[in-house]
Amino acid sequence: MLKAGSLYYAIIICVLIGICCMSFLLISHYSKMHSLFLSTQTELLSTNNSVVNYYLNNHHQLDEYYKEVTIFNGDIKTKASIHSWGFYKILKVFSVFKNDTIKVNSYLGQVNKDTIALYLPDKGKPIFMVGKAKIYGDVFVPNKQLKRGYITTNSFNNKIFLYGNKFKSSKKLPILKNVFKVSNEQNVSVNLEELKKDKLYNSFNKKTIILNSKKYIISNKKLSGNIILISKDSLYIRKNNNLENIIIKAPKVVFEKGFSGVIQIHAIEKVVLENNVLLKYPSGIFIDNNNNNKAVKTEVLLKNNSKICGSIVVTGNSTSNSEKLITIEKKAQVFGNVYCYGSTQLLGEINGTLYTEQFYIKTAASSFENYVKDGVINRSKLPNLFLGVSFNTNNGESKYKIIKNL
Amino acid sequence: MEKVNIKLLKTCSFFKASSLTESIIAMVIITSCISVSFLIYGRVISTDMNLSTLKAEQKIKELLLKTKKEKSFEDDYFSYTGYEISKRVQFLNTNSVYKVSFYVTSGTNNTIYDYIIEE
Repeated sequence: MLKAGSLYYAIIICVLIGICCMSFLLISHYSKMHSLFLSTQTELLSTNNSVVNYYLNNHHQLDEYYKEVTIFNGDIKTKASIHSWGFYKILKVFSVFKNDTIKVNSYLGQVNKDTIALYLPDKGKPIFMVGKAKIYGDVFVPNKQLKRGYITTNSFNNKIFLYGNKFKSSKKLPILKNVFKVSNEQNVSVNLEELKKDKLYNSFNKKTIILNSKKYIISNKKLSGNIILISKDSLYIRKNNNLENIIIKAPKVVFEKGFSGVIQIHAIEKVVLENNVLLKYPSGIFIDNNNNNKAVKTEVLLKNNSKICGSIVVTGNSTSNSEKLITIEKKAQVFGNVYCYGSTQLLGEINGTLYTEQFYIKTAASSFENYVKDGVINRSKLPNLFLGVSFNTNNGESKYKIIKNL
Repeated sequence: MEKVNIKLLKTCSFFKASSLTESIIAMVIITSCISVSFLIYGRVISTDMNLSTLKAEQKIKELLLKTKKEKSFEDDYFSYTGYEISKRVQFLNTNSVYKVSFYVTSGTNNTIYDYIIEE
């Protein structure tokens, strides 16, 4: 039997309607907040991307310290800075809107303006091609002279050794300035032996970590990011190391057989890649020796089956008497550009451009100047998308593009 | 007879009647609740994002990709059902970098989307 109580039923119905309305309002409110959050994220990303695109073409306006950017009128604040990291640069852009921040670090490389395969300055001697030596691409050689050569029992085997055009070179190699730099911002110095763990990752948003090594052998370490490994003496890098995006700075650096990593090396005397070593893209080797002592030999040696994807630069003072050599043994490969302010012994393959003062070949009996035996220079195998260092200083500095985001 | 009537009444009277005042108050309460709920519903629906605005945002992404791919760095105007997009390209005084702005008009809403792209 139902008692009279229309008021009670009315209140119950009101409460029910009220609950439905409130939940409807809440759902709508949170849905709007979520869509506003997503659209803010999209706008943040889009603004950040636009600023990156702007500074790819105007990196000279930036320096190591964050600069506020006012390209768009709006509430999104953006700051940008650029740092040198060896042959490459790191563009840091961060965008802020209220509590949301987006930080993008881009690893930049120069667009390759070098369309030629070989540049050899005119010292009055032609180049002699021996064995299976070939050049694919245009060349700048002394007096446009490229001839067949003969060493002991080896002569030139093929019909053609140049697949490209010949041009006359000038008397000097183009001079490279500031091709390998590391920004001198505040660093944190740590001894490698004092590290508690064998792994270390340092973001490019933090200060650079300088790892000082007193030991000659580096073994079983996992280092990646904004790290410079320094030694006052030589370094022997074992193949059980996992090194990525770091810079190694030592007078001599040797990599054990089978090593693989992404490294830039700054040496003074010697860099040796033993058999089957792979330095992946974007790596680099830089030797800068201004020593006037003729006894000091500067050398980059790529042994059998070793590969490097990046640039090799051996340079020094024009008045320096020390010998500068790059030796690329049989089956060794370089993907990138090579610059040698000295002599190059090419027995392997360069897929890119070579700038060198002269060639040489050392046999058991003698050594020959400006001879290329079995070596191949192939400009067409280097993709147009390859970014690294451009040695072509005509028409100003090359543009920078993004290799990868860190 | 009277006794029978009273008995019948007692058996049939399982619904007790509310007073008139009570009934009127109850009806007023229910009606006001329902009208408030309709108001809330109408308000929420009208302030929610317009479908045209969402379509326009997607279209802008398409047009931006097309501008990059075809390198069509010229001003243009597009008219679609429910919205219009006006594209303005400004050459920034630097190496082949353009500022592309899309002005979207959808009903009474006007929004601007800015991008910087390189050639």
